[in-house]
Amino acid sequence: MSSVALLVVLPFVGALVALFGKLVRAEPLLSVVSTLPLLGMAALLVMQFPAVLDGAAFTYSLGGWPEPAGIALTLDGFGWLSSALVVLISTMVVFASFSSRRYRSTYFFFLMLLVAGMEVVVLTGDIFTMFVGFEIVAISAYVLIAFDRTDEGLLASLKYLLLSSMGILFFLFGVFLLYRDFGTLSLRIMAEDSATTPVAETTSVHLAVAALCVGIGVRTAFMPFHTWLPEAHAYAPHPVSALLSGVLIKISFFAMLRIIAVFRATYLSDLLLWIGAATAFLAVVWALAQRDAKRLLAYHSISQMGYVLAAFGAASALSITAAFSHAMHHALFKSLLFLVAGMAVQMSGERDLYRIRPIGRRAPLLALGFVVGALSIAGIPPFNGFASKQLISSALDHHPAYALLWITAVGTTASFIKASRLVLWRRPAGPALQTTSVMAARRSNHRVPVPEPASAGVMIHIPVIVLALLCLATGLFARPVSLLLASLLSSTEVGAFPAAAAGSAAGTGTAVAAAAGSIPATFLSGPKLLGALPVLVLGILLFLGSTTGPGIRLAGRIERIMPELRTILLYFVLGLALFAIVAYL
Amino acid sequence: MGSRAVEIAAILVVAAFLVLSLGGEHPEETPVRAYVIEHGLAQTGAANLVTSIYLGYRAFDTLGETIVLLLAVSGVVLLVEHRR
Amino acid sequence: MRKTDILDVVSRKLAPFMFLFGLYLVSHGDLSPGGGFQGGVVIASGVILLAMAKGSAAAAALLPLRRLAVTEAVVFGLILAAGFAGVVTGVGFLADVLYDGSPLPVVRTPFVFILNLLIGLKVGAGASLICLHLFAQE
Repeated sequence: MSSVALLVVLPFVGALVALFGKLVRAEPLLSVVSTLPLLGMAALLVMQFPAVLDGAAFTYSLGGWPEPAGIALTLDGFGWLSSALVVLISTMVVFASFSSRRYRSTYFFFLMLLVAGMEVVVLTGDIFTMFVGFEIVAISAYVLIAFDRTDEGLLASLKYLLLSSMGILFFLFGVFLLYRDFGTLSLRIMAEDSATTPVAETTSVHLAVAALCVGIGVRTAFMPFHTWLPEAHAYAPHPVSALLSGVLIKISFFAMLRIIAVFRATYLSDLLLWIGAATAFLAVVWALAQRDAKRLLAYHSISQMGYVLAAFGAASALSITAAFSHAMHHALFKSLLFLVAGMAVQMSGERDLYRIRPIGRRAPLLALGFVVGALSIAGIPPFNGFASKQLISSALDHHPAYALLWITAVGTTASFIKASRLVLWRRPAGPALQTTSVMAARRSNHRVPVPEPASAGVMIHIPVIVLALLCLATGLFARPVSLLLASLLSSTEVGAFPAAAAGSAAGTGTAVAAAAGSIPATFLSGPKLLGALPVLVLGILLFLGSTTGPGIRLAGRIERIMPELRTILLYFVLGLALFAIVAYL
Repeated sequence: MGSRAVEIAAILVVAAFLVLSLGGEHPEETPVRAYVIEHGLAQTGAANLVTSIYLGYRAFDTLGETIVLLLAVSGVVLLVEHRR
Repeated sequence: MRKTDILDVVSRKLAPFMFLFGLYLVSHGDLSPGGGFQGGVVIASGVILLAMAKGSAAAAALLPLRRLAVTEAVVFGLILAAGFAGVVTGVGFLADVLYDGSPLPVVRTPFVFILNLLIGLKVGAGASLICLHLFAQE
């Protein structure tokens, strides 16, 4: 059986094992067994790595049915990267889940199906199968978010359910429109058709692509569709937050890139660039205003995905590499941050940054991990955030939208100085933080309902150390890593997109050459290090400003702006209108 | 009053989107349709072509949908049971 | 809620026929319109009718929730096993393993029949399970 099919089927088998764990009452053992497929998947990915790097694409026809009617699974550089991300972060999250000892086999059943769904989404060559994968992902995510059955978790899950069901409805509608015009569901055949025939330029195909982007956009949570994310990622169980922020939003983002590349939707590039920049900026403003540790991280996920989106919108060979590299780096440091923040919240039973007891003394290694993550996301050299932000800044060279991203970097620095209370600061700041009754009421909800063991345990250190080392390594060896990304992507549809955007048919080989040519020879040169300095200084100033009286009042005011359900739906329609208008014109 | 206007505008946007995307000329004969009609019976042996698609060519999607149902059932059972 | 005898009698007489019709849909999916999903839902609607007429306790006595859950899990395993059967025999995941090479079309296609049966069981058990759980909330 081919490795492609195994990558998809193994997690299903894991889920089956976990399901039986509940029925035969052998939960601890079968929980562990149910996660073993992740190891098998990792081994498969390692085995296929050399071939994929050479540009091979493994295709497997499910059930032996050839493509116009059947379903193909494809493992190319793009699929390899995405799968590697899924497997790596999921494994880390599994370790974290074992460490908290609260999760039984039911939890691992949903977790493994989430993994399986993501594998289906990234490896399938068929757009309807992608829809099925998104459905599997969505329902496991709803359940996992509400898994602790806190009131906030259930509400967040319901909000996510409403919004993403609407989104997926539009996705399905887009699939229908495409099938009507192309007469096939295979992405490969549709890509060939849109390169050769004028069908891709009709209004209805443009609108179909817009509908697909809206549907996936809800999962990716960029600006008009972001409303569900802060709650869902903040009130989910801690390991699940890491998984959702680390992998899930990237997978849907990658799927969107792939669809845009397949249909050569270059008309969406500018929109994506500006939405990305606006998302990055606005989300960081909200992040700065948060008192809740996990909500702060959640807003940063939105903000960093804005960076990625803006980079992709620039649609050059370098910018695609930059987008992927930042997405990968973000997956590493954000899951690290969420794991440590979750641990800190669990150890002190308190989510409010101003009241939490710092874990610096009780769990120094975890605190160190958090610092590494914070330095990475703030773009401080030599960590990986610095490297990928370098790539993004050269990709968006002198574009007006880059100013927004630069301000975002300042805000990110400031808010992570604030977040470092989680691990470093000794005493809560003084009585200036007496707040309104709304916040007091909300804060009382922030208390974690079940008292938790106050020690960190050994198991949680494994993922934290591994992720922190990876953050450092991908930052130190930024050039080889980005070259690797560029060559993995070069022979895929996504890698060929910039050529399509430039209007030339020259696809694969030139793209990698162009990307390799424009990747900086060194990421840690003197001028570049100096370039990070103003951001750092301004970030510290901004943080100090935010601790003054007016700053705190402003933050409180921003934090209280919470869209209600009606507004959320209106935002969704606004996003739909944006995409539809741009695609229609 | 203003909020009502916004809601109506939103519905109009969705309606306009649906109308615009559903219009236009579209091919009636499509590759997959022709393929299934020609080969469906011979390749899968199912006299019912719909079945030949959902348990033959696209059995994996059917497997996926049964998993979606399984997930929904397990989710309801999990969340409902503990809220008692 | 006050119940009349009409509901009680009609549902008791009707439910067996719904089960029968569901079974027909499941077992003849490869020949006529219908199939596992549709048949499964028809069977489940029979269960739901009984649960509504006779009370969820009575329905749960006929079909214990745990047994339904076990059925669903086991059938999920069997469907995956049917998929892997193709891998073992070398025709590929989810491919028809029971096709013996005789000239098509044949009268019945055993592999499709088995898959339909499994899916019907799974959907019937799953849909009944959801509804019985929700009824038990009241």
